[in-house]
Amino acid sequence: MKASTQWIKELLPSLKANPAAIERRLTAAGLEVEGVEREADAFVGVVVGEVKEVSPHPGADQLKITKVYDGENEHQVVCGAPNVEVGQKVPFATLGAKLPNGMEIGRRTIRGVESFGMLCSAEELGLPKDVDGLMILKANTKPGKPIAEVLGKKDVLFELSVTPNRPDVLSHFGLARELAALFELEAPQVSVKLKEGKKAAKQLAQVEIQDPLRCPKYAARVITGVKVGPSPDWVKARLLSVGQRSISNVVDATNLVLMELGHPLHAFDLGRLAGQKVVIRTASVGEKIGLLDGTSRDLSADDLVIADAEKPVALAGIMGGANSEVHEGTTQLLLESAYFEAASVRRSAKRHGLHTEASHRFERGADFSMVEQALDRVAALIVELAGGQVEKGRLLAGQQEEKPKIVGVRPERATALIGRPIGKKEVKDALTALGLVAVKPPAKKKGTPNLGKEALWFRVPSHRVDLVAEVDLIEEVARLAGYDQIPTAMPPGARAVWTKGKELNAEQALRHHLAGEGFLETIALAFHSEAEAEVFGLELPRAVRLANPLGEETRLMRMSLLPALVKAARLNQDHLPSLVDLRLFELGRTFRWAEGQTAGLPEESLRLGVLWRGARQPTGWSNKAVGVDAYDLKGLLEGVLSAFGIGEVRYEAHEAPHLHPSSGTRLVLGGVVLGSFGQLHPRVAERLGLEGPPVWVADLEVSALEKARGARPQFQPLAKFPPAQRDLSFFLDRHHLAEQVVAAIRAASANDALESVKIFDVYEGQGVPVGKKSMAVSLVFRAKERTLTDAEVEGAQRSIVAALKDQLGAEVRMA
Amino acid sequence: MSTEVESAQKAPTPEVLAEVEREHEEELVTAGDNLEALNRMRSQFFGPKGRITSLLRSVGQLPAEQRREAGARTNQLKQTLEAKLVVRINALESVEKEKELRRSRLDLTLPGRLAHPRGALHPVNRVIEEMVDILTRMGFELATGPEVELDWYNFEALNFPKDHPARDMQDTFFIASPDGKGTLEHVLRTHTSPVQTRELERRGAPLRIIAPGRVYRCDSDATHSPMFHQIEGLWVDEGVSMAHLKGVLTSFINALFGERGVRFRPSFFPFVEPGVEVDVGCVFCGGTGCRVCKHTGWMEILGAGMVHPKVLENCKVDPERYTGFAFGLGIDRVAMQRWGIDDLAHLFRSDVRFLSQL
Ligand SMILES: [Zn+2]
Repeated sequence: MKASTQWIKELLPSLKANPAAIERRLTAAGLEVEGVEREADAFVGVVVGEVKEVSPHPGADQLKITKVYDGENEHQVVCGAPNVEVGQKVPFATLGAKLPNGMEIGRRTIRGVESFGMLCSAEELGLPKDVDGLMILKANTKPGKPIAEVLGKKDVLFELSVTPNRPDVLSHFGLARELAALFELEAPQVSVKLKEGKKAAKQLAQVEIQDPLRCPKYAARVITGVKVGPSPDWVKARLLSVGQRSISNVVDATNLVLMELGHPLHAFDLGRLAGQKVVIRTASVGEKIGLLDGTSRDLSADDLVIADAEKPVALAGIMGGANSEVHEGTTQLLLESAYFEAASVRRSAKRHGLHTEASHRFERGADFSMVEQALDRVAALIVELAGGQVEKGRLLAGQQEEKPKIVGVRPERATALIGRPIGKKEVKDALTALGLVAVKPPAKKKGTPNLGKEALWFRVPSHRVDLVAEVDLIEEVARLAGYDQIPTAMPPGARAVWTKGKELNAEQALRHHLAGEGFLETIALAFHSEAEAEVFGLELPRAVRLANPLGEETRLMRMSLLPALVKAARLNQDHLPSLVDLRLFELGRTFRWAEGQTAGLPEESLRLGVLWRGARQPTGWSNKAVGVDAYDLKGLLEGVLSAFGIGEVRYEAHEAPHLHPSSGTRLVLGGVVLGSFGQLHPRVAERLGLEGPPVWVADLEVSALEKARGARPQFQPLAKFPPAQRDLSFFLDRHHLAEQVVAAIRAASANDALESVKIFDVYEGQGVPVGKKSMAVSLVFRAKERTLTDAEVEGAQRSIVAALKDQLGAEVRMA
Repeated sequence: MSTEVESAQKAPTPEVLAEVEREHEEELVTAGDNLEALNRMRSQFFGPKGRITSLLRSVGQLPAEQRREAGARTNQLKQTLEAKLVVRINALESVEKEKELRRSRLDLTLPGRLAHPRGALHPVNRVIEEMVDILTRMGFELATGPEVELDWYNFEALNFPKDHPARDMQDTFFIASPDGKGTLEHVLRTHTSPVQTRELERRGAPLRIIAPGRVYRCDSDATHSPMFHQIEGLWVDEGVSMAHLKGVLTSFINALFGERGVRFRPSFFPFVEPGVEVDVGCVFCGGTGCRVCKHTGWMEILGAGMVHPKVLENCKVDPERYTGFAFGLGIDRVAMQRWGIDDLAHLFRSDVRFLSQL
């Protein structure tokens, strides 16, 4: 909200603090001043100039060359205004000045004549237009005086960030009331002098509430004989200063009182209300209303409206209708001042996508007892601005008084919660200053908290809708003194050893492992477009969909980390065409509904996504690029698994829409799938515009890794006896897998102290029969308690050779 | 050759030995640092046919009573002179070897060979790790919660009633029902605060948790991303006061930013009462005022407050027995400030030119 300090001071004349002090105090009390605007800043460099000479411009008939005196020197200024004359005092923008419309004044040459500054019109200074051409100042104004002083532009305006719990400070009166408490001044009062006419308002119009829950109170007045027209300058200027446009004297009066007292008001053209009555009711389905903003709305049965005898004439608490709008010919007014229930206004405003000064305040909670005061104030102001007669009496419907709100507070509870001694006196003084009234403890009844004998009890004024419980009063006491009064202390010491969650541990370990392997961590927005999900063959029926996406890109919660990584590969390819070496990873969650799930939360799975393409090792002067292949990626994953102490993982061929069939593989441990990897399917790469070397991707489920984490390894005594190493080389059918070879070897030497098997060569091609491959393994034998004899090693080797031949048809070539 | 023959005939009398010693000295001077000459000298004097070898051999021709003395004399001279020569030769040889090694000098201004490029953690996660490290040392435990959250935990239990304008403080993504026909009671969590309500409800008091994670708001422009990061803290126990809130947050902020001043201002968040906004002295200007801090000298860094009794009640914790404080702060802005990143969008774009810089 924009607030004028001058206006506040008019409402609270005892406030002598300067704007800077007010700003600090407001911020310290929780009413954050986000910006400060000095009116005079808009006129820096603009002074009173006296026109000393006027001569024609040789190059243009409409232009004149003037000499302008700024109190010290004379300046040549080219001027295009028709009304410039010698002797005039006019606003003179000197070199370097910046006008409110953003124009900067510099030295210019206009049709061949130099001009050192500019003479200004009212419009150019952001003021209401008075005459065509230059703004003419009073003849006795002193040349050189800053124009801001001449115009009385000395207001300082605050941009206040008002939290939604404090509707009571959404007005200048509200701020004055708050500041009175903060600066320990007498609270301001609303005073209205209103002269009523003889005719009873009751005879001119009626009001009726049909929905007392949503509109518990409605007050109205009738004014006859008004003359609608433009507002005087002071009203226009005041509205402008707080960011409001002037419309007409009657509408301006309602807006001005809204800004002053914070209570929304509305003026109906009484002559246009059918049956000279207003009814507050919910709309019927099918009813429509044309609003002041020019739109037409279909109403629902949940919309509260003000209607006349026939039709809705306003959307209650939000906006008036065009059909009852005050216009130039209006002579009779029905002024509305009402209390609408907050949630009701909010629902309608949300439904119709409207947010107005009125709805903003009603949604947050209006002040029940401000209804009549605001009504009288606006009536008086309208008569002042537009003439006419306020007819006798208010038209009232609904309840007159709000149920008093009594809240208790225990000083010892305040002391415990705030952490500094807070006594009865401080509580009472602070709350009284804020307009609360000390009362006797209420009679015990259901619903009132039992706070014991020490509690102090207060009646909360109707404008403080946010104060409903003890803790709210405690906050007020703490706030008024300021949070810097609270000591800084450490809480009582820890009572238990706390640990990190397991999943977070795993996440951190993975992050550091991959960064250590040269991968860059990314964080991508956790959404997919449908198209992306479709390219990757994700299970769209199980997608978690946003009801209000920001666009195509945020339609689904992501089901895989890989699309974002592949998109990143594409983006980096675009930015640096030569850079195709890329190592990226991300740790994040994926989302999906379980099969047929209808209740509860969707599944969230923390996953690791990896993308690798380009060279195995950074290339340079001494080594040439070697492209990454499946075994590099598998090696990376083996490293990850070994960091988790996970051993016996099976690598099964895996068909997935996004993986190349030659390498798509999944990691399985005891029937649990830990993840998958392989080359990105060329179809996917092509559809996403990737060019160049193949892209390798992997996807692991972090919680599965964590669950599979091996036991802490236990120390094994170091071997005392020497190993015996034997190498075997053999041909076998190319479809046999390495894991079959290793399994056959291990099985054949179960009792023979075979320590390790390592495949050190695999070869197909020249010298190898078609359909076969050559494989070489290195076997290490060792016994725990003695040195193995040659004969023992030979024997073990023989049974291995035999098993390879029997089980896999391998022909051993060399032993 | 003639000298050898001559000397062979001479007996090693003291005079003869003195003569040999003098010659050795002279030749040593002549040879100087010439390794070749020195080696030649070595064989001239000490080789199988060398002068001194011959003298030693001639000892046997002497009468028996002279042999012993002459032998000892000659041997001693041999040792002295040979040692002198060998020291010189060894010194020169090691200089030669050293020269040889130097000739294989490498050009180590050429770049090294990397096993792999430099990897890097994402700046946001680095800040999270730092915060978690500080806070766990202060006695907080890590907790997590779902990102697709129920309205109850994200709003209602946190004292954001339905149809309340406080909900406008957070633009919310809603989840469509799986059949796409309606909207569920599910939202993308707009803050990490639902972890408070979930954990309080699940584990009760006392409780000290922190929960970093991703949060979502239906908002995207130069300064907002639809996804960003927050960390939440909650400390509930008997006798916890606002002074403790100030103590914990002051040490946390000092550990994170260095001691540059901390300011506590009243504010409003529905799930705390009293509510606090915490500022840290501007890291850009040191508190003198600059554009970043809008000339206030302070940067808004986190929101906090004493847990609202209604929140405790909603989570079945007795608000008369337990009190506590909660806080939440945005992580992305801290990361941006820490590495001087000028655009939030860089964080989530996965551009290697950005990621590999930090
Ligand atoms: Zn600053």
